[in-house]
Amino acid sequence: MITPAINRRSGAGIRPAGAVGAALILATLVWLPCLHLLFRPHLARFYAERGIPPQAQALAAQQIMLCTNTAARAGEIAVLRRSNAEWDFMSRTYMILALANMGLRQPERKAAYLPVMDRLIEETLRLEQERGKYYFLMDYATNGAFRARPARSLFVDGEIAVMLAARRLLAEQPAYKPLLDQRVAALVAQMRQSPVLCGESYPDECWMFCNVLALDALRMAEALDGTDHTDLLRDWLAVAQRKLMDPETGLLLATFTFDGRPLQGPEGSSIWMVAHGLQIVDPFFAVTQYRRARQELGRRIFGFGFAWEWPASWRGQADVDSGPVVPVLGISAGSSGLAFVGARAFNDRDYLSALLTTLNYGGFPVIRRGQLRYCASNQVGDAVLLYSMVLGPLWREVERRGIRPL
Amino acid sequence: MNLPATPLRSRPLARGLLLRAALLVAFYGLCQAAGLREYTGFLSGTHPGTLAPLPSALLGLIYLVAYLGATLLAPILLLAAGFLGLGRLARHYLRITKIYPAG
Repeated sequence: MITPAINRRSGAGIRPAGAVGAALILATLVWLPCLHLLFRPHLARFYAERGIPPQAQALAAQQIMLCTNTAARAGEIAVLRRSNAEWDFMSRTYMILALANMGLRQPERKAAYLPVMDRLIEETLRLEQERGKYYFLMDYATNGAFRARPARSLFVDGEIAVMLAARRLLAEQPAYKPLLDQRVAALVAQMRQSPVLCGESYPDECWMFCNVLALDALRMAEALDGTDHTDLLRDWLAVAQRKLMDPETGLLLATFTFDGRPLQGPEGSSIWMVAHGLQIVDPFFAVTQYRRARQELGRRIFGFGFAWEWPASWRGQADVDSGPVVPVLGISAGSSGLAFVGARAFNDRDYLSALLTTLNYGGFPVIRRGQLRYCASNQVGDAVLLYSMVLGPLWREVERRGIRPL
Repeated sequence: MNLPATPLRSRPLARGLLLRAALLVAFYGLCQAAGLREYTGFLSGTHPGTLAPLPSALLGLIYLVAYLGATLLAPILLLAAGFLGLGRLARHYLRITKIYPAG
């Protein structure tokens, strides 16, 4: 009998715990770099130069249902408003922007999209009128006094102006022209009062995101009605580049006071959309901001893309805009969601593919009856994703109709 | 013919890893079947459904842990079991070649 002797000899070299440990380490080293391959998307299913890609169609079907089905809409808005009243408002803006782009991509479907846009706009205007100017703002809006007069939120005026203008760019609606004129006049008046040419979103709190959207509204009004805001736009760009930049990163600040004192540095949940919004204001400045944001905030690990909320040089706290931040990796839901807009707007396909891989893995998509939604997201998040999948034609339409050179 | 038996220890170890992987996948399947995926909205700061924020987030967290277990840990355990099996085979082969050298 030789077997027992051989077994004793062979077992002496490797302890079981050591063998398992080594096997686990080796398996981890093999699996982690491979995992992303299972979730890697076919970009063509999400993004296309023409028409509407299949995933965008499925996402749009869900979003349109939420806009038109009264009961489902009430439930979804309640969910959003429980966390943040702004999200209720912003989901409308992104949905209207998405629908305008979809209508321009598919002119034969315009007739289906326009009533949804009108419904959203009319409901938003009605709610603002009935519930007051704070309805779409967070509670702390009532804690202080706006510095500019009359006291208005540029967040609300700017995004309503964008909604009205996007609708009119898809198809003229004469009833919306005076409404747009009023909002544009309010935006200009607010911005002109500030030493840094920025309107307040909240009392003595100016947000770059809102101010750039306000500039977009001015550009859209130029394209629609031939108005001239070049002086304000030129002055704004000069002031922003001089006073509203973070010196460490060269990125625009996220929030600052009415006088331009920084409150928060560059923020991922702001800068991606800011860079995209700047495309119709100053394309060169826009691309510079995107590249810097990509360098400071865009991250990729084992094939998964994500974005930080704050650059390494600025330590900020997670807030309602950033969403929960995943410890260690620093993944911010807000910044990563809006990074889709930036990556798509600047055709950064590698980063887009990595972001989509993360979305497929950690977004928890669910498709039912041809309608797609992401369980880890919410209605505003899904509206942002939809917008990222269809953006492009609206900005091109603004440029085609003619905006004045700065 | 008196062939050497395979080493006694690595087989239960590999089986243990396989069992753990299977448990992780089963737990994930259970969470999925229970519809806990719906509660992952806590990742974006929202709490879907009629539950209060805390229980809703807790259910979402349970799903997330189960999902990570099934997609990250379970494959690692499976691969590790495979590597242990390969190691066992390799050692077995080496012993045989030692006992019965070629030629």
